[in-house]
Amino acid sequence: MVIAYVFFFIGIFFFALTSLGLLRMPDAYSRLHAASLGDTFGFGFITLGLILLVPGVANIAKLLMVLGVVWVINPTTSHYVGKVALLRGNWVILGERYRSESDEQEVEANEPTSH
Amino acid sequence: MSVVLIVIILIGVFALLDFVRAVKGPTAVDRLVASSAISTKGMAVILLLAYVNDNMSYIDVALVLALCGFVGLLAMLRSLLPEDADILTKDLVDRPAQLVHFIGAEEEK
Repeated sequence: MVIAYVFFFIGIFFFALTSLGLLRMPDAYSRLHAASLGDTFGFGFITLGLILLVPGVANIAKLLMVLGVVWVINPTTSHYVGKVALLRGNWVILGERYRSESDEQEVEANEPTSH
Repeated sequence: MSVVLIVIILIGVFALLDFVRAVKGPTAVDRLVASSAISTKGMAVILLLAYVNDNMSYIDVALVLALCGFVGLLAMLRSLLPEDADILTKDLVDRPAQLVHFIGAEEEK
């Protein structure tokens, strides 16, 4: 029982990290990273806590099936969302300290626009 | 039992925080990412409700929600994909730095 509650707490912690990353990250790719990883991991921990709580082998098998489906689907959709974001021209926002000399003329030729 | 209810309420609060991004998000991709996160949190809430109500057929509801959300998200992404996606892919492979926008010290204030 207590171990299941500890798993719930870890899952809520990762859900909170997801919401924080969605609110605070600067560009779409960072938000995608925070949302996909945190949600998948938090959902896994909450399902593991429920596996310790529910009665019956059949229910545990169904919970494991839901967990497997989500752990396959979430990275797949995240990959495709990242590809669509790249092809739609979302900007990658980096700090000034990551600028190198070879990037100068490429970046200045493209003015940042909102999509 | 009440601990699980507190867990459900906290997940609802975080889903509301995701909804803020879904409303505010500057691009369509941000809104899609936020709604996908809300969908995953909703699945977790349904699984927890299966334990609270002691009705294990809720687990099937979560499974159907996962599959329908997957198909719907794929459909919306296909409608968001531009028509000249192949040409754009080749262009991005040739010049990978064209999308990078640097935040300078003067822009950061």
